Amino acid sequence: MCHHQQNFAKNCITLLVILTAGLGGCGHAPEKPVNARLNQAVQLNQDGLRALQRGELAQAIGQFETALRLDISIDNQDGIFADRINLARALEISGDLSMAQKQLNATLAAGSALAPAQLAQAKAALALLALRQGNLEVATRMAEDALQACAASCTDAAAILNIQARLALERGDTSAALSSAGSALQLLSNASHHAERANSLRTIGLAKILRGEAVAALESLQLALALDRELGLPNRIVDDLLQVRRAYLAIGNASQVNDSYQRALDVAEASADVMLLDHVRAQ
Amino acid sequence: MKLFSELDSEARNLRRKVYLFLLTAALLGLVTLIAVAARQGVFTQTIPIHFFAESAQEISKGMAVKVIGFKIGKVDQVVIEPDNRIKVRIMINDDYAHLIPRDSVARVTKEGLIGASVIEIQPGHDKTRPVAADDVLSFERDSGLGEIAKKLTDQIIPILHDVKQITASINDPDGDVKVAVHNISQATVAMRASSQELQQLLHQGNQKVDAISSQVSGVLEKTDQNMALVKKNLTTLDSALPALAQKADGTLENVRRMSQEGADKVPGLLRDGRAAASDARDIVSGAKKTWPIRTLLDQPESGPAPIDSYVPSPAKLR
Repeated sequence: MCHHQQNFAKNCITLLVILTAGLGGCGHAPEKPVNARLNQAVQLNQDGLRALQRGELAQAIGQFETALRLDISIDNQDGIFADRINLARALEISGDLSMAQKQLNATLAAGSALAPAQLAQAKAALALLALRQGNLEVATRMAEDALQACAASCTDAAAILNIQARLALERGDTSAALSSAGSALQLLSNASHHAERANSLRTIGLAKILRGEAVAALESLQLALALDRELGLPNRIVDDLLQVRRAYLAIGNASQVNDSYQRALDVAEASADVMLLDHVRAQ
Repeated sequence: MKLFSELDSEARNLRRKVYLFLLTAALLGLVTLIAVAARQGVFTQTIPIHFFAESAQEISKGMAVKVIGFKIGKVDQVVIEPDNRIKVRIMINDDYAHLIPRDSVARVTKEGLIGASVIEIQPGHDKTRPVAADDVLSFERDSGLGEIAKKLTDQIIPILHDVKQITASINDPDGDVKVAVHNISQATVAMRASSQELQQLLHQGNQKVDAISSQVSGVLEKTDQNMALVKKNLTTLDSALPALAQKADGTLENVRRMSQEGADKVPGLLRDGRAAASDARDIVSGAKKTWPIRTLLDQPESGPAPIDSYVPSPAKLR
């Protein structure tokens, strides 16, 4: 390397350091006190959500529990609420419905301290839990409470409408189910909440199968399947494929019936989820 | 005349001899008669005793009556009573009546297995009351030969039946005995083969043991040589050890001195390292908050996850 080249490199590095220092000074904000416990709780909550998304329920539950303990130790009410909601969700998916109920009841114990959005979220979670338990009366009441607390600006309104659509489907009221799921789909038209859009489409598909509109049902279900495949959620893909199979069954397309079932079976086997596999084999 | 005289004397003599002979013969006949009568018990004083039996079988007039194998009388009369029982009268010698208490039992038995039947009186226990004339004794009958034979037959027939079955089982080609014998035969053949193999094995084992013994001998010889070498080395080491120990002492002293110096310096180094790490964390934390780096990082979300209304579809649609 010649002498001129060495000087050019030095000058470039000096200029880069000066620019970086200047930009850093421009972006400097007033410092907050460091709260290690809060940071750790936030980190654990995020890790738990990622584990939940991967389907690692035991790990997610452990991380949410630790985060909850940390948030309680520093009286972080928002954190406590978030930890309990997330923990309840993980417990519900793992099948421990009583512990999930306990966590959700604990969130409601805060009473008037809860923001409307938080109250709506807690009530919606309770409605989902009651729906899983088959208690339609409680689920309906909780969903109505959630929607009332949510009002128009609530970000979870679409999810609550989907819950109401599922409840209507359980009651056999396909018109109400289509209405609620359609409203949810409209609310989600500009949102990026793909999982909730898939939920709306799946419910619409189920309602249409019940109404004997198998071709239209197939369209909704294929859309839901496409979204769930993008999200990479095996249990929902299997659910969608089994409903697609129902639609083909109603249409009378035997080859597609077998194809859909085989795909559902393959997904369930590859996911290594024994309960899911049993569910498919029971069809 | 003389001749007639002489003849007359001879005739008289002859007549006298004939009379003498006849008298002697009569006397001898009388004695014989008396002896026979005495022998027949005509002059013996007897007493009649009775017993009743269900059957006159093997009981006959003149049968001997015995006590403990000694004849004391005979059967005098056997008659049928109106109730179809047999009344037997025996005459026993009065001299032996005191040997027969009234609770004695008369029994028809045989002298030996095939001897003549006799009436055997089994004396009772009450010795103070001997029998008197016309007393009645109890009676019982010993098992006859036919009855004994029947009992024996009854007992032997099942045994013979079992023997027949066992024999049939033994002769049956598929029977347990034949099969067992066959198995034993096979086992014997197998044992013979095993025995031969075992003998071969032992022979091979002996050969190998011999080979190993020879190898072990070689190894032991080498071990002896090595031990001698070790002994030599130990001797050398023993002589060099004091110098080595002295050097080790020096080395340890150096190590101790270095440790002392290190102990003084390490806490400071650790403190400096911790401070440097803290500074680095602060710098990174600050850099994360600085534009444009903060735009490249995901903003941490501490809130609850948005509601997911997913509930598995019902297994059966209504």
